[in-house]
Amino acid sequence: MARKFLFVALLFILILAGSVVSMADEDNSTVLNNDNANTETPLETSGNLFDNFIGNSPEYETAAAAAEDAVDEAYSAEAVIERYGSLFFDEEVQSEIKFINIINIEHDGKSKNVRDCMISALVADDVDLDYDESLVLMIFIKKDNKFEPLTDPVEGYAWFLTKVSFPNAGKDNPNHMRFVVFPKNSYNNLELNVNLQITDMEHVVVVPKLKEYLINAQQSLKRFLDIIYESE
Amino acid sequence: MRLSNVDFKKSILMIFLFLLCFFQMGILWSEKNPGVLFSFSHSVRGNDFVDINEVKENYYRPKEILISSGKGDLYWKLDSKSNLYRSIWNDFKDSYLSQIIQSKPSIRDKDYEQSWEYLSRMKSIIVEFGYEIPSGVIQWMENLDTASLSAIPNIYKIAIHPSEDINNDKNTLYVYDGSNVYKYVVTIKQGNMKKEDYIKAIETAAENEFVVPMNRLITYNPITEQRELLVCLSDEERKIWDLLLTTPDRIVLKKDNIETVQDYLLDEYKGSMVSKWSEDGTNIIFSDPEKVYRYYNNGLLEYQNRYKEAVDKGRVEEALAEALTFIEYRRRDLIEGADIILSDISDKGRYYAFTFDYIVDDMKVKVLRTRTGTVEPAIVINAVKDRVLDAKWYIKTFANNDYSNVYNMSFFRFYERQFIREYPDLRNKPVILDVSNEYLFSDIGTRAEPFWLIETNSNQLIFVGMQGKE
Repeated sequence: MARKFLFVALLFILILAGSVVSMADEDNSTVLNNDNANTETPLETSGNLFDNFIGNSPEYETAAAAAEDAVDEAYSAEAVIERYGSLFFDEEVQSEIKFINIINIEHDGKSKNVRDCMISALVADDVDLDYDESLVLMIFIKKDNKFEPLTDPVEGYAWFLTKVSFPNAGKDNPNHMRFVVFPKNSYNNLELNVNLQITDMEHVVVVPKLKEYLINAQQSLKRFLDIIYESE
Repeated sequence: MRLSNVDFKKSILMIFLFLLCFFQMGILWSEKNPGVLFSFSHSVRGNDFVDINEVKENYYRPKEILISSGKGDLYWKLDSKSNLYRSIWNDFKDSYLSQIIQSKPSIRDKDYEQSWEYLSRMKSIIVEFGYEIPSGVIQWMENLDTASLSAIPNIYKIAIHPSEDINNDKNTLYVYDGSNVYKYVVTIKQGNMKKEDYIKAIETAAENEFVVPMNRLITYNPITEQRELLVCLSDEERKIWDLLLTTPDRIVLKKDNIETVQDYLLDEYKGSMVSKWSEDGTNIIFSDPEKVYRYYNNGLLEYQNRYKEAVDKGRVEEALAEALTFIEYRRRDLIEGADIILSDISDKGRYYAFTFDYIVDDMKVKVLRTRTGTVEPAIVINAVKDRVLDAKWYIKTFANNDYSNVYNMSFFRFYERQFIREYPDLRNKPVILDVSNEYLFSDIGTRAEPFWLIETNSNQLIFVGMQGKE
């Protein structure tokens, strides 16, 4: 009988011991304040919260595009060249104002042709364009005393980076370029030194000696053949 | 005296009840108190043993591998999934890094060998880490003999000039530590890429389908003074998926999930850990006399060790081992769809700060704090030789979202159409320090989108969402 009481007593002691542990109060006062822990209350949501941080708001872009479209409707590069050709291609003309500064003419490393280059130009510091405004850059090359387009006209806001392929190579055959720049929305009323920049520049495509010799020979042959063809 | 049948049954019942009671008490004790010899309750996690030596090398890799065309400012950036990238990096891990660490640099007998810019413009392959990795870290990562002292303090960039040495079994490496250049002539061992493979890779870079052309920005636009800053200027296109980021299911913070959260996020030895919910129910604090964890319902885990004073910071690799163990112990079974890589190491005097980033498709995934509007790395750990002092970690698992778009990677196009129109004051000023394309996710959202990140010299980080074609 005593043994049974002993077992029962032991059982109760163990239950009590277990209960004491399980009911121990989780004393929250022992938690120290975590100075570094932030107190925000983040929530998992699936909404797009980036909209505030994405550069251009769609409305703004739409308005800008609409204004540009209005200019675009009437503007035509060919018509401008035709209308102002006498001014653009006047040998003596050079402007004093500068809408753009030519930064660099660098060989286009992706091309194996030494004549393929990239022209980088930046809009001058003192030129202030609105969001929807742009400048038009036309690059011409002088061939046989006549200017021809070197590349298609390009439009830019702050930076022009355009690929060109020069016709001449070697230090004896410099490329005579003419840069014509004007604000696109002034295309109807271009006036030298007011809203039109005309700047000439010379660029030499550097080639190795042997290659230069071959190019010169090729160009001489071409000229010779042209003369024969014209005389016929 | 023989026990009667009834007494025998009672005795069996008593013993059964006794054992039951003993186990119940054991379970309660093991959850509340330290030092219980036997595990009475089943842990949610399986094998908790972390062998950091098996996984540590996964945490570092080059930021990029570039092929210099030798044409001055044009480089070809290799896709990290390409075989060439993998082969080059394997050569470094298996052979070249150990040779650099364990041997002395060769004598540089030409003037240009002291100019990193000049060397990197020549025909070469450039392995570039995003930060200066201490030699000790590489020694530890590659399990090299600790007795050998490296001649270089850090490794930042390495240029391979395969054509320089006339011997077929030798490759010339120029190692840049951020300020000085060291020349090493290493042996091409069996299993490494052959010398002619390196030369061919350089000569045929333009035809490689896994490359993107990169140019020095300063050549075309003086908006930077960083001569090493490369950007893509051509109209390269890339399909990029939005990412779905969620807190891993197992550790979603709920009242009935606390035990599992503890199992995954707290150290194995939980001691007398006390838990306390915040009043608004958005986070919970677990603490004991040594450590404090705060875990938010957006997956942010903050950790602090209370004993920060008078610590011995030890060597950087020792502290890094602690940081990696902290991550590795918790990430298993939780994080999928992204790698975690070490992005920066900084000596803070009393401790080392380690920055880690999630990486998906070669793009870092960073956090946009909506309240402050700032961009932060997903994991930052401060550690010393024997413990982690602080940690802040957005624990996320990754999957492709249901949206993708084709993005133009040209910096010129971005600059002209977005950046300078939004920030006209920066036009023509040499302000840009770095340009990158990274994912950003809101700390209160579940979506990551691709952004342009522009770091300026006034400590400003400008981020503009990439505009897709569609």
